[in-house]
Amino acid sequence: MSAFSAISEDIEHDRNEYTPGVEPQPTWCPGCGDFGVLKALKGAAAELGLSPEEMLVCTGIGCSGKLNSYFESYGFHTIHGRSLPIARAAKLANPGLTVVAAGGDGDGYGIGGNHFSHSARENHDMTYIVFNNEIFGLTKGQTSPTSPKGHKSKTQPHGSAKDPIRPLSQSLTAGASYIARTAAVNPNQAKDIIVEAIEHDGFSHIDFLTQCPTWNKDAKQYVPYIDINDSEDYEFDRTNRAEASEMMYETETVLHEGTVLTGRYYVDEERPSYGQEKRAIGEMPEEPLAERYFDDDHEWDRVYDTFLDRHK
Amino acid sequence: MGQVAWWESAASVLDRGDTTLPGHEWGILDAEPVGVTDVVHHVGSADIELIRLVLVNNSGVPRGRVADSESLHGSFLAVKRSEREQSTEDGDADTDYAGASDARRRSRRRLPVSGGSPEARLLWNNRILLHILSVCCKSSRIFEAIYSRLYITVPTRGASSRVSFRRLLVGPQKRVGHMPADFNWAIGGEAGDGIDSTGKIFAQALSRAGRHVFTSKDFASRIRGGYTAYKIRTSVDPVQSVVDRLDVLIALTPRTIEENLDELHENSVIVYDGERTTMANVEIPEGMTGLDVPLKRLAEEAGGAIMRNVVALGAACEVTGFPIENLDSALEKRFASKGQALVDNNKEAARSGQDYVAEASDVDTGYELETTDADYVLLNGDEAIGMGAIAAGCKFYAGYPITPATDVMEYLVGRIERFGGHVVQAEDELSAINIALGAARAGARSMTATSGPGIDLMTETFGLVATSETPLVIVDVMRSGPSTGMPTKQEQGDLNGLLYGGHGEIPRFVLAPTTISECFWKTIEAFNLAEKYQTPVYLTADLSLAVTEQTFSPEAFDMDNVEIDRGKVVDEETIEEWQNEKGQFQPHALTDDGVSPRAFPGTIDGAHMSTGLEHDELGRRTEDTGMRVEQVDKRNRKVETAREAEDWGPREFGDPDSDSLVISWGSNEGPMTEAIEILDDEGIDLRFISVPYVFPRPDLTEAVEAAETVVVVECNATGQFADIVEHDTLTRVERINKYDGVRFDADELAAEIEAAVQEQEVIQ
Repeated sequence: MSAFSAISEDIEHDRNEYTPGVEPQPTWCPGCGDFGVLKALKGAAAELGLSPEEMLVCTGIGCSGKLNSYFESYGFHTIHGRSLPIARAAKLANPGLTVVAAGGDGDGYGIGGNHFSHSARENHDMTYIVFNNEIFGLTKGQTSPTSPKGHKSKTQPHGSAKDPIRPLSQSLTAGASYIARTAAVNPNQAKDIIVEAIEHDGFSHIDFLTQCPTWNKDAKQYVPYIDINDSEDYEFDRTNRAEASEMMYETETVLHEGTVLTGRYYVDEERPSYGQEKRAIGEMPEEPLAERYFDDDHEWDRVYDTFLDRHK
Repeated sequence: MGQVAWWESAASVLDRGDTTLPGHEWGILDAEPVGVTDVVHHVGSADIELIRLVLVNNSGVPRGRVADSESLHGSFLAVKRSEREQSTEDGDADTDYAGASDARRRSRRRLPVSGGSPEARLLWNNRILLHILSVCCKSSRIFEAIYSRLYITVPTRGASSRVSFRRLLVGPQKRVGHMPADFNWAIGGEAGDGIDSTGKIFAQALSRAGRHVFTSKDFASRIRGGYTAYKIRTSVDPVQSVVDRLDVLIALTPRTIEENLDELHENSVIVYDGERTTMANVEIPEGMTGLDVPLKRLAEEAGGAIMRNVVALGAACEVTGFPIENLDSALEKRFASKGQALVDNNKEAARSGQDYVAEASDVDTGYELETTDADYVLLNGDEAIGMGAIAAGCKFYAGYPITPATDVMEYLVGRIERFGGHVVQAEDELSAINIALGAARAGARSMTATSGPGIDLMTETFGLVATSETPLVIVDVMRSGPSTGMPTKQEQGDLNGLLYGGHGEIPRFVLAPTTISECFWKTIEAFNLAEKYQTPVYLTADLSLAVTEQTFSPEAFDMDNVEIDRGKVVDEETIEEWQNEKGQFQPHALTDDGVSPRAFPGTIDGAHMSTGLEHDELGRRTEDTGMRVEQVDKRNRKVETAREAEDWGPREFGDPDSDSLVISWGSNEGPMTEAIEILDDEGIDLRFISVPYVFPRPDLTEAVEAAETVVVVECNATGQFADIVEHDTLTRVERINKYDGVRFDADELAAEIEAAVQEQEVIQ
């Protein structure tokens, strides 16, 4: 018997199943964009027919870190910036799990920036949602890696001298194979993008614009937004790296001029994920790494001959 | 001589910048006592602070004792007096000498305390001291007596390090022949000369011939970079340590000889290639045998210059009377994958070296390396840890390369996969431990290995591992710190970091294997402890264990004795008993033993939160004061449960009834067990306790209280383990500390313990 029987289940799920009994009502501020992420994630999980027990949602530190407190699944609220290595390892250890990591822009693009680059580079089969509100919210309004240049805050009272991170461009350069931006004010597009991201075999990065009405009042509510995949003004091939790159650069630039562009920017269906590559060369079993512990017939004594002979 | 004349004399040496060492000419002395059996001298590292000189007669009774404020001049007088009053037992113990305080004040002002390494200053100070001695002691008999027994003790924040004068000034005293038929061999040259692989081949040949082997590597240098050597100590009996003696040296560079002068002796044989430009004018030290073998030319004749080291191995076989068939066997193993032709060429190269020596030399070295039928395996500590991990069912390893822990990762890659496991090379150590943690949460037995700098980074996630109660094995192969420190050098300096590292308070287990085979067993134990108590386990080996290759009987790794205990893992059938009245799974349930159930993601009805925040039984964040206390107590309760349920006993050696107790941890066990034998030959018996568990750890109170002298031996400056022993037993202990980057060797340890034990006797 597999120890992971939840994974093989194939039943229909209602989005309300993802609301935990313990803490059904989030404590985010009224009007917070984080509600939009939660709603979209619940909708996506229901649409994909995922049972809560076959999902693992890892979060970092920040308001966004509470996502898995309000989403019924296996949840791991980790430490600042480190959700990605934990999430991608869980997926390697049990490829049957659906693994989602989530965190804020400070968590993912700042303190966890190295993990972001390398998780994308290695193309781990998982979805990474970055709650991008261009501010540090939980610590009450300091400049973040995505805060626009000139943005004034308690830590940069004369305005930030730094250019903000270009998260989409950075993701593409690092090697993510699915890159999208969506906004909390557009829950339907957000849900569709999360569905695609989870279904995608590789590292899916969603830069999720989540307005912070409490600490980033200067910022827009990210309306009106434009879906670049639907708009006739933006013609580009999202499977073409060069065109995607150009589109991303424009999107990141015009955001601070008041134009909110969203949609799918880059999709590479060809590139195998880290797990696929490792399994193809026989470096990783298909079954969950933990599965063999439950196999009573496992031959431990093989180790003796196999290993000591080398040392003679 | 006036009361401060000795000091004036020293000052003039200082002023002249004279580094000639008057003591040198006495060289190696026979330490036969001449009415004076022990002199202990304390010297501050930054100034000559002559604290006391203690003289005792043959029966150990203080003859002339000089109190703390005494000067060396006083000591000199005491010596003279003791000579005069040879038959009088009753020395004049408390005489105060007027020159003392003045001399000490002047010494603080005059000594070159700024600049230079502490070791250099120490040496400088002691050269002066020795000069003083030589001036003072008009009788060479007295000088010899003092000199041969003189140690300096460098106080460092309550701890101290003991260094013998002889070692500092003229190199160690040779103890040729004290071990049963051990033989010491080395090959040395430049980095890139293939020293390491050549050494390994010879070690393998010796192991295959049924001889015990203990290897060590000189990576770097006392003079400048580039020098590297591979040393082998071999015997038909088990060998646990390096010694200060070299019988056969293959020197590819002149510097190899230079670097090993201290260890060579008059029966040593040096094999070198006189046709090599740099070796053409090499000087073989007087009394030693130089064997000029055209290594490169013979290798070329056998098929390629690259085999010159193998030619040297063949020559070594002839010099040592070692049957060359054993070398053949090791060469086959080493080169089999590259084709039979290469194997044959190498064998031929070895034979040409052997034949050359047989024909060209009529030297009879008297060395005869006998072979036995014993079956041994040869491996280092890193490999033993890797093997232990696989045997323990480890399925996941994440790491970032770092000396000296990288071998663990390299061992696992290509092997663990055959048992359904996987190795990840992470982008940094922050990631490595988080990756290992993620896999552990998904149900895999998981491990990471690093060294001190990596531990610093991993300490961040350590708290999350512990508070989320995730089993994880974290290996710290210690090297010399802090910061980048000395990456290829020995130290046991991370102990406090492992015990107390990280903010907040959280239990962890700390295991410290004491031998290479114990690296295997403790790794297995670490996995079981981690999963049974859902607690991170630090497994700390030190560099000496990690890179030393040693022979063991295969039974030392008997896989049939490996047991795997995964602790309280629940599945969909057993999960019910861990649900609350609302049917919610409780991953942090408050239990009597402190241990809660684990459900891996993918288990039906097991969905739950886990967090680095303080949490309730459901794993949901809480700041409730009552729950906070209950969860802290529950986590600490796991330690109490483990303390009762598991065996945390130490390893015991020597005479259990001895009044002198030596305690150490980690790799010091090897040299200590040999030091016990050396001292036993000299009539000194010891009880030795080797501690493989640092937390929880054995209660040593009884043993410490039963002993008159307690000495804690460790490779760090401050005595971190000694502090622990004092804390646990409420008893002050003597400390022997070494932090020069080199492991203890048996001779040195024996000498230092002898001094510590005798000093203690005198004081008492």
